[in-house]
Amino acid sequence: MFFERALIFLTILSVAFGQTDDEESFLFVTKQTINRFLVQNKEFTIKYGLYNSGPTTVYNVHLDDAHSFPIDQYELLVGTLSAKWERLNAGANLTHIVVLKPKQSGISNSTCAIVTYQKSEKNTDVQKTYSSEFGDVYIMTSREYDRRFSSHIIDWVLFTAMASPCIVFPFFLWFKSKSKYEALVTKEKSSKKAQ
Amino acid sequence: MSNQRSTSRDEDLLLQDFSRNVTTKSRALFSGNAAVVSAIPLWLFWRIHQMDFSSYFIHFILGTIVSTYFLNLAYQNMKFILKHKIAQKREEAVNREISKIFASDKSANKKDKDDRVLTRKNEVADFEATTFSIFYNNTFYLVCLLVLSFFVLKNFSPTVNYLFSVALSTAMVFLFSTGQK
Repeated sequence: MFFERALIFLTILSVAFGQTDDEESFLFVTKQTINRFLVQNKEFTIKYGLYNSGPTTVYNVHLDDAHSFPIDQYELLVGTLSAKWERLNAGANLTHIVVLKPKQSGISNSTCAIVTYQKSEKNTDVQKTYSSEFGDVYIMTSREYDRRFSSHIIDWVLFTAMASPCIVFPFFLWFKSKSKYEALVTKEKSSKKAQ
Repeated sequence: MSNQRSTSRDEDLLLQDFSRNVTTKSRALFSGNAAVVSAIPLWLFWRIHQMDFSSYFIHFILGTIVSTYFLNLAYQNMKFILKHKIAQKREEAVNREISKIFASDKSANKKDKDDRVLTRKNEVADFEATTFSIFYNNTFYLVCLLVLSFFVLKNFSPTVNYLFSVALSTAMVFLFSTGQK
């Protein structure tokens, strides 16, 4: 009897401890660009989303993505690629925005951002997690971007202004002569009919 | 003597009428127009397709020379075909015009009047055929070029776009001018 009760008690204890291990918080980190096209020397925005999926708060959250955007290839305009937050409550979201400008064109490989955090305030063990990535991106030249997307209205207006004389002037000359001689014939015909 | 002279003059007029040869003035007019119309689209290729002159000047020069040459031929072909049609249409009107001029001149004989009518008819037909040929070929060439470059070949590289759109539109204008009867 005693032995059975002790066994049940031990089982309950182990399940309880087992449950506290499963109830640890885990950070989901997303990394995405909100621009449709990446163009050389034009700004683009990276958005990092951090979500604490567990029941407990995490502490000393540190985001590091400097390795994805080296300083010789990208210019940092707004925000920082290395950010820190003291805590992230359970079930809370966090967004971090960085604005960059690519210096070169071509294919660029973007790797994951690294996020480290502590599961409790007292326990200094650091947990590391990786963000999602958007893989290889093509950074087009500004010339290619202009070619595809600029409106070019002024260019079309000027082209029309230049091409019009080549079409309108010969047409006008031909039409003037044609009208004159056709009028001569119709005038004679109408005067004969009147007679 | 005078008969021989007037016969040779008639022959000259007939030869001029049925000849494909154009006068120097006409040739200069056609060449100038062809060069201008071939050069104008370079503006579009430079500004819209972003083809800078320093990188593409060989393509541009080649394309302009080829299209100038064939446009010139197209002008001449179309002018030759139209001239006869227009001459037939304008015969009556030119007759009336010359009759009005000669109505006050009693000393003029029928031969002079007929010569005058033939010369005047030639002039009018030449002028109208020249101007219509230039207008029609210019319009056809520019429309073909714009459709090919900005719709059909829109997603190709600038080099392919330029060379094919100029070549195809020149070819279409030239073939159309030879095909008409």
